[in-house]
Amino acid sequence: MVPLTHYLALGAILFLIGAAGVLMRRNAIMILLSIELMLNSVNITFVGFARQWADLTGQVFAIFVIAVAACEAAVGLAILISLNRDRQMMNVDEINLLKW
Amino acid sequence: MELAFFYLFAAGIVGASLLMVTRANVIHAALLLVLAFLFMAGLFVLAGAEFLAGVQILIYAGGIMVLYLFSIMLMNVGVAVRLRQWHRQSVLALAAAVLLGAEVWAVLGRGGYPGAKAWGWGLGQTPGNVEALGEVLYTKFLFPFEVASILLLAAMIGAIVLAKREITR
Amino acid sequence: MTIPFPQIHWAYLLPVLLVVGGAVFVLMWDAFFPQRERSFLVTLTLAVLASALGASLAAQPGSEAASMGGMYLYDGFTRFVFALILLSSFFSVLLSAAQRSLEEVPAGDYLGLILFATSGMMLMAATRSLLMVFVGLEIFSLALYVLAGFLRGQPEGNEAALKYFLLGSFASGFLLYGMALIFGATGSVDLMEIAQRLTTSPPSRSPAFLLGLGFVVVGLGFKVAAAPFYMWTPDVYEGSPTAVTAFMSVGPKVAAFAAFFRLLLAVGPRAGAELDAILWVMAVLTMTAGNVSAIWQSNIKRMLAYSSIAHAGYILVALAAVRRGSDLATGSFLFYMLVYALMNMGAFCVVVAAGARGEERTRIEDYAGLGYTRPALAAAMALFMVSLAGIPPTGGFVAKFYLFSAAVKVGFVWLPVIAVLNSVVSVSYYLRLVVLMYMREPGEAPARPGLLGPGWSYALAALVLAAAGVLNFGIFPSSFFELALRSTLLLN
Repeated sequence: MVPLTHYLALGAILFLIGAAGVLMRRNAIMILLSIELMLNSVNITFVGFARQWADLTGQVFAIFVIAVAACEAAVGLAILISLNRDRQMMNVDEINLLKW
Repeated sequence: MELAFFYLFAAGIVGASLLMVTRANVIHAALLLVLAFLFMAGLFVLAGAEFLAGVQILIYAGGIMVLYLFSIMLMNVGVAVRLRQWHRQSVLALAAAVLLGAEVWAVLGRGGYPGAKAWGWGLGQTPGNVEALGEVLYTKFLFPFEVASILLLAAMIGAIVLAKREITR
Repeated sequence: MTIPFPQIHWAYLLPVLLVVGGAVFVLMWDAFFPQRERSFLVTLTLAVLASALGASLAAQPGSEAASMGGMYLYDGFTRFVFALILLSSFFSVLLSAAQRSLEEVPAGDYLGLILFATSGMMLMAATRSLLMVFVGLEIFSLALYVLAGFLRGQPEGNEAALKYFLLGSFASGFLLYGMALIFGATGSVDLMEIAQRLTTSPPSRSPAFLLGLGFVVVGLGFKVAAAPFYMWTPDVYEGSPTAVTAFMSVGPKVAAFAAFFRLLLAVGPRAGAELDAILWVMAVLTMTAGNVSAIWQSNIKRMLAYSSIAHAGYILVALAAVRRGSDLATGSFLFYMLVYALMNMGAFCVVVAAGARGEERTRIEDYAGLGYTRPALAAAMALFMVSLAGIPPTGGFVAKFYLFSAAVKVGFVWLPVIAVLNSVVSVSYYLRLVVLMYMREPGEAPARPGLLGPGWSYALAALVLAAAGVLNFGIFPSSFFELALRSTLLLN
């Protein structure tokens, strides 16, 4: 059996990669994709803990995370498309009408 | 054997996601993320979450990522590839992320977890993972399950509202 | 395998059902009868919110058996918080109907999203399951992301939506990772079970649990705009339609703080002194950053945004006191939120009412001489500013008094002192506006922009309601404070 720490380490690494992507990239779609990565790292952590505790709560939580990720993707992409039609731009630091 | 597969999947996930966050072309990035999700589905099977593995492929890789790809094609991203990809403060951000990672690493490594308990829902056993998951989802977690429909409805309305004004204009 | 049909206690669910049903009905009505008058839908939404408020006040707090395994708690705390959330959405619907620039938007979609956001806030506040906290938070967040960018042809609104969305989802990631670690350390996502396992099992304060708690604090801190996660607030508040800004400055804060309180009431006493220090620092940073930044603002919506950050800092003082197990702090939090909702909504209502079609009065200079051109509006604004600054005889003073004395009673010394000093600083920018309205001649702006058009009755209703409330809680606070104190009985 795979030890719990392996799942946790993998989850932490992915969370880190996702967070770094959010903080470092300019392209808004890349930021969205990095956020998806963060949500998936959470799912790995949940599944690992569900295995450890023999408790399906972790898996149920992961299903809800996926549902929320779908909703966030839909709304986020709609906002992006609407912004893209108006201003033809993709990068977050060009979004400067309001002080960032 | 299990451990070998774990390392295979983990290497695939980490590799694909590292490539993903560094791509200039968002379509390549999205496809690499699909690859990472497929490896993740394999990982979920190893961890005894067969239903989640299926959902990961059907909903995440098949639904959400296709939505991303369609949206990317609606937007004009050809120009974005040739632009600067990283923030000016990205070194600072990287330092912050590494610091955060080091902290998580240090804390999670200190242990304090329970010993592994017997898992009653392995592959090929009865009741299997899907059946057991369905039972808790419709008993203990019935209320959040129903509330999730409000979430989906609100998100759907919101996305339509934002998209609709493009059509009516 | 048989799945039993769950026992449903309709009386407790009724407020949420009314709001969700109202949202669907408003959407459907607008889809099938689009030519009908907008005022009908506004009246309908207001009626839905009022009946939900009535239903929640009528339902006596329930028992553990009726809580669906902790997923939906209907206790005194829930009842008071429901009243707060419904009140704030009631006000924001009034403000939306009064705002001229929102006249063109499709009313059904807009009001439906407001009602969906309201239901999410209610569900988030009325649970002890981390899963429900997360789902409720996402419902209202998604609705608010869309509402922030609701005005077409306004790039600022789109930008506000994108910023709010990106940073909000980022914060959700932190919140979720924290919840995963808490689940891993305790094996449960139910706050009562978590509290029990923390006392019984040997690794009572495992490092993973504390780290998870820290991540959850980051996620919730973002939603309540606490330092250092408040950077998005002024931009999003400035870019969103004013009525939506008013909603954002009260509703999500009530819901997120309610979840925060339930978390700290359950695990706080066992989480130890680390959390004390974190909350202390967060409270001081939040109120100081909010107050100091507010002094330099030239846009009134940004000023009110920083002011709302400062008020979140004061409420964090109550949170720190709650961690030390003070019921008084919970009661004074509820009372503070009630007064804060009224005075903040009132201030935003003046901003809406002072604007004309096309251009809003968002610069602070625009308010010069308002005391001569529109005396009633200026008097209301002065009242809300005085109350926000915490000067007697307004509700803001009494609320702050209760809040800080609760902190003193549990042994905090410097925290209330810093909070009081901060209130003194805040007087400068609140009263600057009052001085500007009365001591300066009106600028070249049109002296009388005329009444508000069809929406003026809504604005008038909101102003009268808010002003009466602020004065009433300032002069006769005790009965409502008693009510707030009685509402601190929790099901766990």
